[in-house]
Amino acid sequence: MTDGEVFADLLGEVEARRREFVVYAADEAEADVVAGFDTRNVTVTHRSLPSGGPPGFVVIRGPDGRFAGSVGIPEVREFLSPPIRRPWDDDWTGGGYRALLAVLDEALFVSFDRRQLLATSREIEDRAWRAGRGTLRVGFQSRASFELQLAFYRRLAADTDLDVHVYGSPDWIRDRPSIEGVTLHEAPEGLAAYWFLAFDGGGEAENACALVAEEWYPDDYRGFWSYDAGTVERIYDALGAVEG
Amino acid sequence: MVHDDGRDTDCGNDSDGAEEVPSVFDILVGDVIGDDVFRAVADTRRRFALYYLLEHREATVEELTDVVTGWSFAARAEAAGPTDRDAVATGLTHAHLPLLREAGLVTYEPDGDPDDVVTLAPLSDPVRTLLRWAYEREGGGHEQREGPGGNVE
Repeated sequence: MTDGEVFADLLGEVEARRREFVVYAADEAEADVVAGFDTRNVTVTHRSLPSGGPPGFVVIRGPDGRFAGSVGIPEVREFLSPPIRRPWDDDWTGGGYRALLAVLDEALFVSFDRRQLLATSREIEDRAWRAGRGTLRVGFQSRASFELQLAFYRRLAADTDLDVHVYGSPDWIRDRPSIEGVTLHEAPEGLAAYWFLAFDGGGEAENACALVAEEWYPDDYRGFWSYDAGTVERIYDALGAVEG
Repeated sequence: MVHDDGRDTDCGNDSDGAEEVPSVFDILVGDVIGDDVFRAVADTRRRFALYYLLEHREATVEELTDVVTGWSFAARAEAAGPTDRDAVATGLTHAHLPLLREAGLVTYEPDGDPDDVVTLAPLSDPVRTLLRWAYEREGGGHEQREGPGGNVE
């Protein structure tokens, strides 16, 4: 499969795996904190807490009904309006953000904007940056969005032993001057529509991670992220075919 | 100013008798609450279990485990994973729930089944007052961040 089929398949599979978000909060209105996630794949239940106490929290149960994780409501809110940082920034504290991503792994989001996706992408780039080796594959939907990240990718390629591959629509990537340490690929039509990142973990499967999103409305994305090495491998297989 | 004499006294029913609920200070320094109760509420996980039972009166061990895990981690602005929950589950079953039961704060049949129902025992007014007082002071980090005046610029 050399087109976007594998992404469409993965999105379909994620959608089919139901999850339960149990929102524990004093105020029922707080249940809207998880409104960015798809109700087709997520059941949201509210359970009350006494008022006047510490902040509430969300418990996530996976498709098998087992406890997948929990997170505080203030952290979910912060997660949904994240500051965009770079791995080398002094104030980067990726730890909390990462724990949250792990808890919400493979939950389908339906109304994320660019900023939220950028923050999630940062986490994957940060992992690759810290690992310093392995292969990072990134798809950009437009030349403009790639040029905005160019300085970052130059530095990523220059400062690490990472193998960096960038995919884009032929109409802009074909004539783009080459970048040292970055391999540019023409993405087939079906693939060029997706915002994606995949990192193979640099030899450590538990570091593998991926993000796949499609823009179904301007600045409105649906997709998922995953820390599953198998999912990352499927993305790699599809992209490997592009390189031929 | 409108005064409705009939209604004003409605909420005063509790104080009809001579008994007065002691202040938190009296509760903390006096002997109205037994040592076993103080010991029971001295632990965050046991307190969170009690707060939840104060709202719902009863919950399964399974649900209390979710609540204690999610809430106590959230109070420290942390996410919890399955391993964290497993640790809380073990602690609840083997230490915290038995302690709460011995202090007379909850009742349940401890046979290790996650579907076992834990019920809040009838609590004395001083115990309720103490728990309410503690509840309002739980998770100080968030309180400072979100409380009135916390965002003064």
